[in-house]
Amino acid sequence: MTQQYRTPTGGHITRDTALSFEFEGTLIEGYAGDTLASALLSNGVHHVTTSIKFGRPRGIAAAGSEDPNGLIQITTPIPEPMQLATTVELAPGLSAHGIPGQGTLPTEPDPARYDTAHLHVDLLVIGAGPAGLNAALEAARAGARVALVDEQPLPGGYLLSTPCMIGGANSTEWIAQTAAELAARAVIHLQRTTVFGLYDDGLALAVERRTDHRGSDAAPDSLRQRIWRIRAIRTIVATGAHERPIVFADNDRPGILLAGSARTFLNRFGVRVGDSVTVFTTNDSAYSSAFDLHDAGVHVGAIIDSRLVIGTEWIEGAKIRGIPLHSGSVVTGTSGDNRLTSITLRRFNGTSFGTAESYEADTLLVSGGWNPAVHLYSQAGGMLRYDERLGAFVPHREVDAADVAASRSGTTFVPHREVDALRRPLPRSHEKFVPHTGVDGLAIAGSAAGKFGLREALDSSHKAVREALVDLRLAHSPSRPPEVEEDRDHTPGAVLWFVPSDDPHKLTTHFVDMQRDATVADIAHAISAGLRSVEHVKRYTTIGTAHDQGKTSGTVASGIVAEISGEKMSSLGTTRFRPPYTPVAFAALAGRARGHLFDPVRVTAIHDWHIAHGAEFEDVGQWKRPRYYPRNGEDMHAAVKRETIAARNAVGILDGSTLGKIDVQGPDAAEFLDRIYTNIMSTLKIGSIRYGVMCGVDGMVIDDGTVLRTEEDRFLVYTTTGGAARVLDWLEEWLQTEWPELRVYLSSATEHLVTFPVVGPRSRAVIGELFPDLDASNEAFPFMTWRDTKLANIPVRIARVSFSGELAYEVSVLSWYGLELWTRLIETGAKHGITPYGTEAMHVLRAEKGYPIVGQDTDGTVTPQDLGMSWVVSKKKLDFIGKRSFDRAANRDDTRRQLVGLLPDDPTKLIPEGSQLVTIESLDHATVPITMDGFVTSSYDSHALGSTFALALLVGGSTRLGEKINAVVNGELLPATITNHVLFDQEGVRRDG
Amino acid sequence: MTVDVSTKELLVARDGLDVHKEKFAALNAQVGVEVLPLAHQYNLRVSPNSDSAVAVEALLGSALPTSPSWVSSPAGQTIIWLGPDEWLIIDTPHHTDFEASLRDATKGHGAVVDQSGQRISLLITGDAPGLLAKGTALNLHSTAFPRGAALQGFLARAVVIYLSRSENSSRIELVVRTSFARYVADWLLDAALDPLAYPTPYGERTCH
Repeated sequence: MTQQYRTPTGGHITRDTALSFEFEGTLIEGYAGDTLASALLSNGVHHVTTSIKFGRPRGIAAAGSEDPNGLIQITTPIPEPMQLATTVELAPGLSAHGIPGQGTLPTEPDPARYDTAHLHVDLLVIGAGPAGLNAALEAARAGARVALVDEQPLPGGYLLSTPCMIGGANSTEWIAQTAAELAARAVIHLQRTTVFGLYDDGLALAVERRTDHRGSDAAPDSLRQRIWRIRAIRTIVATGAHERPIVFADNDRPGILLAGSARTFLNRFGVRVGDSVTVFTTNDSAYSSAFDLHDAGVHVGAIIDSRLVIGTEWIEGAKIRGIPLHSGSVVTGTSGDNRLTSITLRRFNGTSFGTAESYEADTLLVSGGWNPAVHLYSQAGGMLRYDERLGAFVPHREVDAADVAASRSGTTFVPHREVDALRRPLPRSHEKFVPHTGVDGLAIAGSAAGKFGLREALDSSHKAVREALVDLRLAHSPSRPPEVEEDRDHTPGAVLWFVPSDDPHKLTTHFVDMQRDATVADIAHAISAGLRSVEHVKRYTTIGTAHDQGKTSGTVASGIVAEISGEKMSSLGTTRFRPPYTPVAFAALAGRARGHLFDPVRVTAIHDWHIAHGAEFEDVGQWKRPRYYPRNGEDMHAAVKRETIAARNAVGILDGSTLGKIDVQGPDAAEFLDRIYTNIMSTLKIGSIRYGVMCGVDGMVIDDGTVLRTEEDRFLVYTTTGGAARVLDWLEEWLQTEWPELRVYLSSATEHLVTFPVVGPRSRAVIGELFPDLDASNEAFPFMTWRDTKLANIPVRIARVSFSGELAYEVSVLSWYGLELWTRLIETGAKHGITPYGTEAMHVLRAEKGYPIVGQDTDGTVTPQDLGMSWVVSKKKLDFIGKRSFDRAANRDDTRRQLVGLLPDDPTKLIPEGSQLVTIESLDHATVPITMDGFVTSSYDSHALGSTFALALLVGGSTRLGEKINAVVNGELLPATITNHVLFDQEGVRRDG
Repeated sequence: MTVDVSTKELLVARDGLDVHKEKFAALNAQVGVEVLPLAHQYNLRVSPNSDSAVAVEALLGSALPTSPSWVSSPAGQTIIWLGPDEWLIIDTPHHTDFEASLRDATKGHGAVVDQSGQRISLLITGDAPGLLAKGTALNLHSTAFPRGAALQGFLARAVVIYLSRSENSSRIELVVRTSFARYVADWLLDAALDPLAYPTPYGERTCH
């Protein structure tokens, strides 16, 4: 194709850089600086896709992110669905095709990189149109730290579409000069960056597109997008305005687009949108589009204006150019298939229609007025009101009692949150600095504030900057906004939401939200169904729920609801504006938090040893713990069997460094622990250890572990690996909020020490050999005591505790020396057959002994008594957390679920964890619901028992030992015998070796 | 892994970051990352304005900071404010019996806990704020984070202590929990692959 619709000169495109791209399989050419949409239009392509529900042909309907229609799927260079032709920049290697409302997620991995950046500034200016550029410049000149953020590739905003004189220069020069000065003043100026969310306290989220415009020239693994998290003391929203369509029959054909967008395509991209254009408007702004197009050589067949009274300059302008002007008329229909061919117009006085007249036209420009782009402002809590003259929701002006009263009487739309805010007395700073928005630090300027004329836009920007500078305590520079010519095409026009008929239910081709194929008829049906709230109508019709979030359809939909239902627009309001302003890829939001950086991986001091010895790892919280160490191609079952045999018959070693450790210090430390644990800690002797259980106030087990008394006023508390941080918070909460009188300090020591249990009948030999200064005998070093010794002059603490039932010594040292200690233990233990074991073998060993794991065998509804540990609940202590709950009848109920062991009749069958336990004998004729007696919490194959076994929580379990029960496994019943939860070495003879 | 089992041989202290150190050394000049030597450190809990606090200050020869900041003692210890009654003392020179002296000073009215193995320090040099701004909402620009400031907060998804070691934010020390150190180191290396968060002259007020 030949770009036959390209103007000979002009536009902000690079005509000496032609770019080929593929669309729908056809090779097409455009220029650098084009969007995909402008390049397609330069080749006469309007029709880009079909609609989601009706399959109607659809074309480019706008020039920017407000386009409801032109969704495409990019196939190269970076595959991506649901992009807008109007916002995709033409780039080398681009190929794309239209999609009917739904795309396809690419299946190949994304090699690109994504980043996050936090930015702190005095002033954030959103939008680099004339108001935003001026605001940034004035603030920077006054010495403020400024960020200027704009979604377009180029600064200038609508000035790019409407060239004019500004500050004594043409607008292109003024934009360039301003941008150069901003750079010289170190303003953070980000183009191609969309602020998609504006929040309380001056937080803005923006996405910067860094490489897509370079297409295949960008390295595939380059930094593609960055999320900016900007915190600003003051924010000026200068986001411009969106043109509003008028809804009429068959208003969705390719070739029908917004009038201002046609002007953008012409002046910014040098593209004529058609050969033969008609214009349908309710206001003055479309005349400039018509005249610009006529002056560029396009045949403008007619201007159809719904108003009877039109300004003389526009009448004269049309006359001079020989353009027929139909006042008091509306478009009532269109023809054409993949492109508009003709339109029908009729005179219309608001109630009745005149006779039809037709024009041949391949393009129809529509303007129903302009909506300030208040999305971000409203997201941040800025108030809106309905402006009858503009037919639009505009920022609420003065914040005073009259407006609050008005909002209550229904003539002003103020979201409830803001009304509540207004009822409170405003802080002093508000009175002084923030008359505009009622939101601290937030101002709005330019056409986003409803100031559509260039002069008033610049004046509002000047005013907003002055307020910001006072707030920032910066002296305002003497600079004034640049002088501009008077522009008058912003005079408010008529408000016409749709071209009506007798029965709105029949208006099935009056498209309100083209992307959703939702029509006036749909709104009429919603109202007939009794809906009045625009939020309800939105959800009934799906209007405003597509990629564009109703940028062109939202206000129009409100207007149509008002018109059909007879409600006042001001009391209906508009649907809530929510982030994101434009779609944001999840990859960008994830940033570098993916792959190995998705979540912190916590490792112990000997992690590398585990890797070097082939460990398979298990995630425990954020920790990586060795699960087992397969040798010579062992599977997990074989490895775990070998590891448990070693621990039961020789010696094993475990990396237990991940256990939480809390140092509890102070004169009241013992009293504090007495209140925290269910059992007594104050009677513990220095040098001794006690196992303890913590409960919540409901008497349910929340954590367990051992407690070492290290000094008279000092304890070292071990917690579960996963519970470390939670338990520290729990202790601090009680200390700070309930018992501030206790003189106790808590400090984490989790990573200070490594802890290695050396476990098994040969452990005493290993310990005795490596620590010759220590008497490891049972008499000198009994169970549940700890001793200090040294290794090469480094202090080592050894504790005789056991989580396996075997003779065991837990060896701790400063984590710096963790690897040294571990390797010396391994070397010393080699001749005794020392075997490193992982968490899986640890689980088997502890389950054989009936030791519960909090969080696996408990679920927050299990008491110590349920676990068979009545002995751990003190009957002497006056009080401790959970005590009162143990007196509740429900806590003493014999039919509570209690921890039991299960031995399957078939010792080779493993009952899966989570299996339900039932007493029925057959599932065939069972009446449902079947009574569930409990469930399996842990299940393993045990070499020591010569059988599989399980732990389970079973209704009244402690009274049912010896009975039979059935586990339901894949629709089959697996019979088992109920046993005591301690299945191995019930007498506990092994712990002393 | 051959280690002489003899208990006579000294144990080697390891920080587990040898691989990262090589990668840090290969970073380009814009930012540098250095793993600081392992240092003894102690968590101090004591009521401010108490006799114990006075005794601690006498021992340190320095007032305990009372705002989010750090000070250096005459003996070269870094004293970091962590909370109204909590400090972290990094005893880089490793004074003999320092812990015992500290404990004596607080006896009965506070707590001293050896946390030497709990944390490790990484020093970011060069355009440190430009790198760290990718992972923290804290403002580490020199105007907001002058020498002597100490803040606690997230870096990516790990909690770290930030120490400003220079006036111009070109030396920022991260005090990191040991088990998170590799994650933070990996994160820093990954973040350094992409352009810094903002250009060097960012935010200098150009006139006033």
